[in-house]
Amino acid sequence: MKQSFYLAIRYLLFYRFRTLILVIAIGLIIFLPIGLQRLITDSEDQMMERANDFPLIVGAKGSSTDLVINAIYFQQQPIDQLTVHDGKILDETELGFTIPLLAMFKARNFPIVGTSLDYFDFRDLRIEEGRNLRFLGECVIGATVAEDLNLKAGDSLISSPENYFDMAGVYPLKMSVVGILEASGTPDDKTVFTDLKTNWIIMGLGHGHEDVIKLTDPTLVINRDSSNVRTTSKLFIYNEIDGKKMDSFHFHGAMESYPVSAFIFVPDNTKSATIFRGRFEAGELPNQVVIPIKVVDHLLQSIFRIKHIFNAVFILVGMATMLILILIVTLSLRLRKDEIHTIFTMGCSRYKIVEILGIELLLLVIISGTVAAALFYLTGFFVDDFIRYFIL
Amino acid sequence: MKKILLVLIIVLVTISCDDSQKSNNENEVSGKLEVFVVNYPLYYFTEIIGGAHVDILFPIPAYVDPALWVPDEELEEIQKVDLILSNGAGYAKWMEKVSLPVSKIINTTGEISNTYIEQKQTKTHSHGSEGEHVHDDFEYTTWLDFNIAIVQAASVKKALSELRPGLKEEFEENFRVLKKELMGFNEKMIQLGKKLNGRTLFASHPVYQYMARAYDLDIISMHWEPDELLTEKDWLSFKQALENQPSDIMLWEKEPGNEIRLILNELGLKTVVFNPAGNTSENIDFSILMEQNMLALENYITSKPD
Repeated sequence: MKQSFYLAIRYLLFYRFRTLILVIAIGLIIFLPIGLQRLITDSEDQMMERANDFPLIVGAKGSSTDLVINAIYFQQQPIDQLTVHDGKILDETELGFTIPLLAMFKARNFPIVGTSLDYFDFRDLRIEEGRNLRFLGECVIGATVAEDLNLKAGDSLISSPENYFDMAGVYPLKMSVVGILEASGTPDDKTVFTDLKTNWIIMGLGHGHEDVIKLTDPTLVINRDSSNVRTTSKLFIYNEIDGKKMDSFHFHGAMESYPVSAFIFVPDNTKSATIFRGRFEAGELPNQVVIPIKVVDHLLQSIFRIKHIFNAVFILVGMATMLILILIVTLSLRLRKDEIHTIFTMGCSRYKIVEILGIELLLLVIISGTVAAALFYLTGFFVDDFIRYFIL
Repeated sequence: MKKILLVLIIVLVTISCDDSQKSNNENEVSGKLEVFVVNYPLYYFTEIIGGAHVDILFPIPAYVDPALWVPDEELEEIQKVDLILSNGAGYAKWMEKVSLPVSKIINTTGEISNTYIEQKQTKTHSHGSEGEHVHDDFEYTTWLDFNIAIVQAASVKKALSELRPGLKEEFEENFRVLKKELMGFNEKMIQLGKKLNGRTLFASHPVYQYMARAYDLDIISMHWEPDELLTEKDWLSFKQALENQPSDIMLWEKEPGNEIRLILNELGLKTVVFNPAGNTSENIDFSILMEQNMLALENYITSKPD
């Protein structure tokens, strides 16, 4: 047996290129169906788990899928905005409470999500380093953001301008990173959290500048009368909020009209949730309410219908590969006819020859299986990317 | 027999687990509520209504106007409380510049927000692509209209009752007592308003707008501080205002300095302290303070009848 193994190994090593091709071919055939199955199952689990954590989402009428993707996965889909006032109407139902979300901007490719401190309690997110949000201009970042951007509490992070060529557009805001969240294995890890009001400042709804009434620089003032001071565009708008500048920051207009992407509605109990949804169905409340898990389930069912086609393809490809493998083995036996005859002439029994060839095949299958297992293991690292590129 | 014993043990264990869970829940519900309030009137209302069931967080030093106070390290404590009672009407601007758990904030004047009084003042300004705008706001000494004070107290009662439904009756009873007191103040102020009969009152600071509206008082507000000396220019413009609107009384939030009082006396004005009670006063609660305010006003009316 030992000698048979030795001879089989020597044979495979001698024809290493052919062995390599066979290993890759068999390995891929084993891996592809189980790897894809894993991607699909893990993605489903991950997405459903996240969706299950959010009881109800209220957003503007339109695509419920875009709403959920924006509100719980923070993928910034273009959706119509609600206002703070809409949230007030929901709170007035006294059936639960709302948590506002505003996901419109990015900082170095990570979404900036404006919310209130309630979100951290609701999601049970804990600060690993630093502290939670306290003042305007601060942000708390997810574990992945901190790792990828090499940031720690005390550093700063600048919001990305919407359009680099729009010089008069939204100003980037230099935010202070005050805390880093514990890793949670959810989209929260890849998010920059700010207070809703900080997001409104990034939008330009609030800003800080010198007190225009006290301006003395003539190049800053176009005209001044008893009721109005008109300044030039030279008036510097602060792009960072620190203690000294904090007082000068202010918001224009009624905050109740300020935008919010969506509201998480946390009902007091199941009965409240049912009544709440009933009010939307009866048209007593404006906008739309969705149950994230239902929306995500529907989305996944639509996407993964293609899974059955893949499975059929893999069965056919697998059968074809098996036939090719049999052909290769048969041809190789024919090519090795002289070699087998020599071994037989040297006194080797027919049984031994079958054993050597069988071990060769077994080794090929084992190595291919190992390759498939390694690929299967590596697949686990690509679930997030799979979700991002193929589902969201 | 063994089976019966086993079933009994399981039943006993289940009951004991249920009991311990129940007692844990009871502890949770019976714990004191941590409440943060933005000013002293709300402190007083919460103290009366909540009684021994609330711990009130009011970290603002007595010498600071709570409307202008800005928290620093205190914010961490504020973020942790069960309930944050705000005054509304733009009071405590700092609340716009900090992160708070919004679900815990109750605007005690939310119900009557359509009756807020807008500030008259301020210049507009324009810069960049924006149009004219003004950093205006509302007047915020809402509780000096005792009808609004009752609305605020009712808000406090409702918020506490929602957090501790088991104590609803007690909170309701405490609120009734407080409401009676506030209605008494309201009645008294209506009488004083009638006695003043449209007489012009000067005020050292613009803090009496809601009181003026509710009790039909004609109040002209200055921007004077009790312990700050006034310039010649200030006096000159005040004298002009006094010529246009003759008056013999000026309301102050606290006793003005001697020098100011003497000059005002020379001009024929009596200084009357009407403390809005935005912050705590030594050993005097809201109720006593309001009684003192009204007594001072009544004494003036008695000394200077129409």
